[in-house]
This record gives sequence, C-alpha cells and structure tokens, in this order.
Amino acid sequence: MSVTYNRVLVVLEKYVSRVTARATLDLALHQSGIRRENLGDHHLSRVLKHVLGDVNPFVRPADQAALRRELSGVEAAPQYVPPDLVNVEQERDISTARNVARLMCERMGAPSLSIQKVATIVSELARNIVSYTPGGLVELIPSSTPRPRIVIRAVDKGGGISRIDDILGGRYRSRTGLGKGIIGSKRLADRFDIQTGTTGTRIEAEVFL
Amino acid sequence: MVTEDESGMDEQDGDLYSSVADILLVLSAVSVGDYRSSLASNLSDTGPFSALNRGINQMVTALAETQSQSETYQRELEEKIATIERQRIAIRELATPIIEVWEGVLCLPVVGVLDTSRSVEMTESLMRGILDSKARCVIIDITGIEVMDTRTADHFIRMAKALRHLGTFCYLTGIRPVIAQTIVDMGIDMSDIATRRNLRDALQEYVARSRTRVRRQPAGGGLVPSNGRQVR
Repeated sequence: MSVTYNRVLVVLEKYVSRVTARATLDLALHQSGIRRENLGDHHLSRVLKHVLGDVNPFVRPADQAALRRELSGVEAAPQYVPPDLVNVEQERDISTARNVARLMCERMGAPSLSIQKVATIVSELARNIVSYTPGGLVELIPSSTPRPRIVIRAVDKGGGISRIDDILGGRYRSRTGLGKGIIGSKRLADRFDIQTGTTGTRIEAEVFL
Repeated sequence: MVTEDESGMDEQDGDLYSSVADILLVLSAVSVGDYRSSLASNLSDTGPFSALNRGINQMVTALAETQSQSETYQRELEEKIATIERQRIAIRELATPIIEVWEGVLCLPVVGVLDTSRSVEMTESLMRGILDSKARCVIIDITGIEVMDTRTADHFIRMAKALRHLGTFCYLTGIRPVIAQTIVDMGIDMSDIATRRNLRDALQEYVARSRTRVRRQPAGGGLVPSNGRQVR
C-alpha cells in the first residue's frame, strides 16, 4: 500500500469518517487515473485538487480552510526516510539488499519503474560483490533535494575490476560476465561513478525517483 | 551400638568409613550417568549422615529427572530437524513445478527470487522433464519474478539455447511492463528467446504451428509460418 496514500488518508480522517475519507480519496485517484498502489508524492499536486473537490461536501464549512492548509502541508513536506546499509557477503544478502532498497523507495513514494530500476541496480552490484569479492556492503542513501532520489553505494575490498575503462566503453566483454551488470547498471542509473583498484572497488549509482 | 571404649571407637569409625564409602559409590555411579542407586536413609534417624544421605538422594533424583528431560528434548529436536529437512526438499520441488499444459508442451512458472542453486535446479528439472515427456515446447512464465538482472537474463538465454539443442522450442511469457522497460534500458538482448505476453498466447501459437506442420507434412522439414496462421 502506498505510503503517500496513507499520509493523505490520515489527514482526511481528521475531518471526515474513515469510510468517507477512503471513498473520496479513491474517487480522486480514479479521476486522476492513478492506481492506489502506484500513488507517489509526485502525483500529489494533481490528486489533491480532485480530493478537495470530492471531500468538501462532507466537511464542515468551518473546517474546510484548515483541511486545505493541511493537505498543502502534505504536498510540501516529503517524509523523512533514513539511509540504510546492508553487509553483503553471501547470496542471500543480495535479496536482503534488494528488499531494503524496495522498502526505502516505497516509503519515499517512488513510482514503480524507479523502484524496479533501484532494485535491479542493487541486485547487480550486490551480486558482483558476492561473486567476485570476499565481501562488501551496499549503502542506500535517500534524498529529496534537489529532487527525490536514491544513491546506491556499493563498496568492496576485492581485487578491483581490470580493464574497467574498456568494459564501460563497451569494447571488452569479460568472460565471466562481470561487465554486463556494470554496464546495465550504468544505463539504468541517472548518475554512475566507479572507482576501482587493487584494494577494492567503490561504485555509486543514483536514480531519480 | 556402643561397646567398650576402643572397640566402640573402632565400630563408630567403621560406620563412618562405610557411610562415606557408600556416598562415594553413589556419586561415582552418578558421574557415569547411573542414577539408580540411592543411599540408605532412615527418616527417624537424626544423625549427620542421615541428613546428608537424604540430601544426596534428592539431588540424584533431581539430576535423573533433568537428564531424562534433556534426552526427550534432544529426541524432539532431532525429529523437528528431520521434519524441516523433509519440508525443505518438498518446498524445493514445489518451487520448480513443471506442468504439462498440452501434449508435448511444458510450462515452468518462475516465482520469486532466482538464486544460483535454484537456477541450477530449475535447469536440471526442466531437462529431466523434457526427456521424460519428450516435450517439443517449453513455456517459461516469469510473471512472478521479482527482478530481472543481467545474470537472470543470461540464465534464461542459455537455457533457451540448451533447449534448442534438444530440439525443443522455448517461449518466455509474463514479462511485466516495468521489467520489459528495465531490460531495454539495460541493453540486454533477448532476441534469442521468443517472448509472448502470456501463457495463453504462447500456447495458442504453438498449437496452431504444430497443427500446420502436421497438415503440410513437409518433405524435407519445411519452415512453419511464424505467425502461426493455418496454411491451406
């Protein structure tokens, strides 16, 4: 269930009954053409216009101004989501990292395509750590400035990726398939940095939500 | 029983030594796990050894109970571990179910996470299934898959190639829109596998193709029209 949906619902329930709140919010979503589970913070300006129109008949006239103010508050204030970190050593840690990333994206009200991109990048980078290094970690750092985004930082103490420039340039196909995941992640991400050497590798990928 | 001085002392000493010896015997039996022996304890007797013997008997009984409880727990634990192992095997078999949806057509729904051991098992089960059923077509449905990364895509592409060597055609169905998008964005080339929207589409197409093949009876293995339409 979308976090954004719940945030709006909580506000509405202060002014109308729960049943009315849900019904009017669902109606507004239907009018905006957005499915409940896909509702993200970036949809709010569109949806809230409909919400106000739909719910006002049920709200006491004296309260209507306050409701309008609170709903603008919801739109203006994105939820604070703390960063997280997953140690990656065995294969099951890949799933853990993916789930943590997914949850974080959902809490930020991200649209499903962004969620899939983040989950895929985390999967690729974590898998490389498991396959080619003794271990490492994946850090997930959410941010809402300058725009909602998540930074995925994968750090390991492996032996580095040789011929990384050739790999990134598409000139070299590593026999192990190592390059494919990196290239794929680079293409999915909105920003991609990689530093690698004999003491380890550090990859930072950013996805706008 | 007290007799004359010296022999009285000897007899009391004798009783003392024999009481201590009895205690030592019982304790050494306990130390090897034998809790059956107990010490003589006369309830009316208020001598020091009587109380000590009673105390030791109680301790031995308590120890015996604890030991038997611990053995019971151990047995139960072993049974539970055996059950968990059986369930794990059952789950693994359920996790790669292969269903014959049409004569010679197998369907393999893939759900959840595809880690290395599961993907190996999946390939093995599929190969076994194909050999057992002599299937000519496999439809792999990935509606339930969580993420498609390069390793997973690679796995499916290789599987399709291996199946082709066995003379079996492979469809990939149930690619969700966000997955399709990330595959394209990443630049993964899935052109080696035939992809269709869902199981039904793939099955309909295959059945139509095989009917056409039978009807035309090509002399030297002619081409079957790829749009699946019947040719008269």
